[in-house]
Amino acid sequence: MQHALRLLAITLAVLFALPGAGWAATDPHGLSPSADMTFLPHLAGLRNKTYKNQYGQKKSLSEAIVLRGSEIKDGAATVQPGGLFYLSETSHDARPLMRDPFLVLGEHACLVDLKTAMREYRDVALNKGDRAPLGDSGYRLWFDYSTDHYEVPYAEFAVISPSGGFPLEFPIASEFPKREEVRDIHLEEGLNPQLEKFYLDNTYYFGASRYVASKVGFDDAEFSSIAFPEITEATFSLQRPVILEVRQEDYRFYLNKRIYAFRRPDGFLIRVTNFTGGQVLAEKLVKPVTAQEYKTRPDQLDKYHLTIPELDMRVEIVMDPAFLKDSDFVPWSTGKAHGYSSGYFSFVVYRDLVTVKNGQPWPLDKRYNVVLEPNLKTGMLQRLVLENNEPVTFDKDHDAYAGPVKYSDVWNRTAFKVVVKDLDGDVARNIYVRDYYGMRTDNMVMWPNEGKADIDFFLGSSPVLEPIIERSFLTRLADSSYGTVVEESRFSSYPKVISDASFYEPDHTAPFVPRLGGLMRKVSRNRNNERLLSAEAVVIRGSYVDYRNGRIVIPPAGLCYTSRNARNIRTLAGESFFLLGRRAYLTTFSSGTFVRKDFDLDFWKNQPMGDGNLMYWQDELLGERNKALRYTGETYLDDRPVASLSLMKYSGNRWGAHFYLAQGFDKEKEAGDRYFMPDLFSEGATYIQPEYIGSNYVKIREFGTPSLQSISYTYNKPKSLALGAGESAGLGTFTLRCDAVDPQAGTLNLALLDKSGAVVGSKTVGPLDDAARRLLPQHMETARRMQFKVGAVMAELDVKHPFKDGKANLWLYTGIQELERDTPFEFDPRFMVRPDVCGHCYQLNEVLLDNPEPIVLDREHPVFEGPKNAQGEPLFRIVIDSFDGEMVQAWHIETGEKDELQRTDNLAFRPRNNVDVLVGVNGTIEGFLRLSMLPRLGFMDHWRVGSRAPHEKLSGSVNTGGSAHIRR
Amino acid sequence: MNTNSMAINYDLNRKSWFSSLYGLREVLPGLLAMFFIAIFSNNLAGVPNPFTLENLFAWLDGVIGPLHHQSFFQIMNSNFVWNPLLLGLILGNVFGVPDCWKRGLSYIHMLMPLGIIMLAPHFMVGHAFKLGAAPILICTAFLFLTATVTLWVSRLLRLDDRHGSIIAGGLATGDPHACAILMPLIKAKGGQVVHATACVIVFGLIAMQLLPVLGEWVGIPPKYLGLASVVGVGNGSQALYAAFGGGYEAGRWATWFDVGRHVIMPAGFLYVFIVMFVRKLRRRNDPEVLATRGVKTFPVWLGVFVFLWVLACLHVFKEPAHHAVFAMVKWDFSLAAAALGLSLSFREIAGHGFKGFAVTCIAGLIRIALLLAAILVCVKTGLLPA
Amino acid sequence: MSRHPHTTDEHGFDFMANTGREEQDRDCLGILFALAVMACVTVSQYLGLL
Repeated sequence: MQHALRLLAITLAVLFALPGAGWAATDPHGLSPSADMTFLPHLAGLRNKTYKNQYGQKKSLSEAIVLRGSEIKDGAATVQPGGLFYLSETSHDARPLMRDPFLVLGEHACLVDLKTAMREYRDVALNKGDRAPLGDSGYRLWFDYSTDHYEVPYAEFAVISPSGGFPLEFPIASEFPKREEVRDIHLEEGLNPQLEKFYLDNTYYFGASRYVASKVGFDDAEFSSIAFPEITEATFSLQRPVILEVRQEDYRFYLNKRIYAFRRPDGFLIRVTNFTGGQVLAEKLVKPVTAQEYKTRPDQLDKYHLTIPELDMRVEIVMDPAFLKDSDFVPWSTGKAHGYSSGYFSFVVYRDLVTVKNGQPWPLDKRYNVVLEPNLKTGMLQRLVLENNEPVTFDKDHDAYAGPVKYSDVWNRTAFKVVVKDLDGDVARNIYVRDYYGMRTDNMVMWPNEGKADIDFFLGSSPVLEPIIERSFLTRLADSSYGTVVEESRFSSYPKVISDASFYEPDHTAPFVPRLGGLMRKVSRNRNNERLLSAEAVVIRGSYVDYRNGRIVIPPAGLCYTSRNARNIRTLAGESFFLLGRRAYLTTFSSGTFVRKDFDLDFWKNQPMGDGNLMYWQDELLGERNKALRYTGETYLDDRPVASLSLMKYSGNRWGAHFYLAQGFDKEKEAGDRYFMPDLFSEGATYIQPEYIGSNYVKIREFGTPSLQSISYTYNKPKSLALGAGESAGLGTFTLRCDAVDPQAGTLNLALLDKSGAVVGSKTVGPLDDAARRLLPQHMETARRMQFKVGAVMAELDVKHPFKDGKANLWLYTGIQELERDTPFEFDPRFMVRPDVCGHCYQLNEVLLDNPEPIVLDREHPVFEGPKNAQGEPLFRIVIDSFDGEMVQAWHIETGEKDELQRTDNLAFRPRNNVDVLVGVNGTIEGFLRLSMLPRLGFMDHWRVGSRAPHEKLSGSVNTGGSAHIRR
Repeated sequence: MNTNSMAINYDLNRKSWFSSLYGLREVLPGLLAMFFIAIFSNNLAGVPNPFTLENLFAWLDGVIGPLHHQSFFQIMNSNFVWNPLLLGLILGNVFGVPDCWKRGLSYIHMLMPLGIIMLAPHFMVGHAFKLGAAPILICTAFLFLTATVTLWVSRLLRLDDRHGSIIAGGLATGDPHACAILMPLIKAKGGQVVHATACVIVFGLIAMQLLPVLGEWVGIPPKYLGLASVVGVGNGSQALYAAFGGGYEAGRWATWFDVGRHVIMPAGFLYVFIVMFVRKLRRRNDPEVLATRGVKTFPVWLGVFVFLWVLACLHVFKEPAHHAVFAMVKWDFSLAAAALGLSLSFREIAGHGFKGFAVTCIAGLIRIALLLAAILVCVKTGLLPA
Repeated sequence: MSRHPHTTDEHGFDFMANTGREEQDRDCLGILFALAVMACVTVSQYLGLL
């Protein structure tokens, strides 16, 4: 069984990798390692550190070693140039004049200088699924997927750096109203009718980057311009700087030199002389460095330092706070870019300077090239990559390949060594990496008997892993070769206790059970023959052990049943979803635009619970249990605050990418702004018109997003029927009579008669004309016109093939039931109905059922039954098998009855202090997994070898265990 | 002046219990010696010293690389008792033990009961209930069986009964710690304890290679190979080495079943002590009976331990308290083991010869054979569901 | 009894010897300290300090 599952996992992984099957021999830049590559989170020589810069701002640094695009053939493994690389990454970015820390092959260095430029590629065309190379830069443009609104396409793209990292996927379209048109929307506060227009611009601005689409289709796209920043040269200082207080009109000794400072109207004239002061070695007017960011602009940077390469020194003048000079132990940490207000001027003398050039060999090792990857938003350094510039071959005579030589205080030596042994035909059986401490990893071939068909791996806990494995992370986490992975929790006297779990996500260590019989996951096709994947899932969130009372509590909204399709669920196409294990057909929906005006949104800076027990009182709710707006991230671009807002769904997932907003940038070249960010947000039907964007709060003039009030559905499969004028047909217990058909006008008259022949209702369905077609299928009012619904029955015009031979093509629905937001579920009032809406298009996105009252599990009540269907059968049961009052020692979820009982593995195989869990796979679960990807994958390695979870998560992770670059 | 007269001296000068602490000036050098050995051996709570033997071993583990996912020094059972003992042993043998340390080092006799009592919250029997009846029964039965067989074999081979008891304790509980715990109960010599510990560990090295092969040969399913490793090999990482040697599934289940062996450990050393104590009471004048010779009555502190163990099982000590107490236990045993290490010479340990090892091997092999048979029967009869 | 070089000092005090009244006192102190530590920790826990 295990082997079968393993085989299945491998097959799936290979299938996932298929779109890239031809990549292996091609240029590996911007591509990911194979889907079945090994990920190991830890090696001693790869450091994960948080250091502060001179303003006390924290930077999370991480390192990794990656191998990609390898091939094994006839006992030899080959790696193309760019396939093996070392990577050092900082959270956000590192910029000059800030003493920003950076790791360079294990050494703590400071970035002191950058030379930047812009790159632009014109007329880039690509097909869906492509990762098209952008010139020979190593960057690629990825066309991830496309979808439609009113049957007009829009799509998601990403610009991928050579390492494989990308900051976000951006939505873009060429046919819809532009961002600026949002200014014309003026709606009332509260619920408004659906917006007719769908707003999506053809230009995506992202600070220093700008992407302009000329044509976005379903299967191909063209960009007239892809512009993004480039770093040509970077200088690091490998030592802590020497700090000397400035004595005006006098000198300080620096080793065997003197450094003079003479006051001038616009700065200090710095003069470096020999020991006696007799010989001037260098002299320059230097302005003191302060925190304003524009000083890193290429035309400004030169005014702030005196660099003397032949003396290996670079002098800056900074202001250190009066009480503390040159310390990593700055006692405060601030998100503010501006420094302290009083202090002393000091010389900061950087030494051990190393300058590296993008695309040029690494100074200590010609076999490796340097790649400097900017943060695409700020244009400042985010990643240093050292990649092999010649093909590498492993065979039985060459089983090791040395990494680049590192700088060291002790002796410069190879930073690591990749060892590939036991190459056997087309597989490898033993791969490991040894670092500069001589310590090695475990064998990176997990099943040595079967071997591994490539030698790809990712070693280290760097957040760049997340975009790199975007396509394969779900398969990886759902791999069942190791059974259900359960991370132990540590008992705490102060567990995370919340009174209501709405908008919260499940614990990041919650076990994930990808498959459980009884929860459906199936593909179906709608009337247009489009493939729809429908899946059910169960989520428990916010649960905790109330150890003082010896019980387990699931708070209100903590037990969620969710059913969702791979995209939103539309009417007029016979689209279905699962509801409590049965296929249900969506018949109607009613939604509107929820608008809030003139409100303040606090920046999420003041997080009350430093222990990770976040309280979301700063959320601004958009309608009752609809969505919440959160101000989660704040940065500066040339000192203009840039807010990143998140729209949180009721389920705790974020909707789409962050919304970046900033005011006051001018996109015209003459204005001379390095950056541009729009001061409006619009994506589909969600829009923001801000009044003021500040670093501490955002004042919003108007915000609108869809809200879904109710849906109706039926478990009965709709039947098709052609009806001519004067003809009748049965519809449930009624008779449907067609009184007139007018194909020209696109209308037909329908009447519904009861058994006695009395007319219960009548309607002129349509008109289905060009005006209507432009708004179908998403526009509610227009869609309703195509439907004739009376009570629990409905007749619907087939909008694709409405008329034939003078007859109207109808779809008949019977047994229709209603699901209204925030009302008890019809068959089980212990659960409330919470339908969730797509933020783009007003359609049904997800059906949620959750508990309005807390659920308490203890020794007397070890079982709780999930939502029940019409027959009173629960979809699943939560069963606590062993609970000692403090920790859950064994529990499981089961579905079905006696003979068909299906149960999960023990979900407390390692003891847990909550019963949070993710069962099944749909978009909701995927979102939660994405937020905890790195720590989860890291723990899987501990699980594999039977060791305990590390006390501290290894990653650039924030304290919630999530990942640095995905802030919620 | 001999020890007896020292004892008389003590009685003469004694004022209260606290007289056994002597004067601060007398004991300070010895205490400092223990303290420094302890903090350079283990990463102890509250001491941020990175230059410890524990960290040195961790580095060497990294250099050697994992063996069946287990690190080498974990397989060798390096832990908070072993490390200071080793460091003390080396220091004592290379440099000798200055006389001024010895008063302080005598605190070992206070620290041992202190540490053992504080171990009590560590063994919460309830934690094993999740395993189900059959595995618990197997763990328990083999604990007593192994102890009995070992004592019997050691008598057969005429091994010093103190030495035999210590081996029995270590082997039956599947934890070389237990050897140290039994030391004050059995009144064993330090050399015997260290030798017995070495025997248990070395036999573990053999058993961990042997068990997966035997298990596969007799056809034990992976899940119960995990159980077999825990009961048949024990010694923490050695059991995991054996289990992972049999495959991932076996390894995973070994981590599951380990709690069954762990929580009943106290029963193992209590059993050995009581058996030997009763034997001594029965054969008071037999010069061959040396075990528990110095123990006149049932030790009060052992009673306290049992009492606290019962409290622990009744869940009086919650998780955070249990962790805090265990951090103290580490401190305590680090200090005590340092003193024990200093008290021994290499010759003394080696002097116990080969016989002890033979006893360990014979008893251990009998255990493995019986265990595999028992598990096989249970699996066949469905007592252990697949 | 021969003088053990590692354990016996010049006055004949053997730190590994543990008998008689001295042993009882050491045991008592061990129990006392153990109970003190555990009581302290447990009380802290019940008071919510841990």
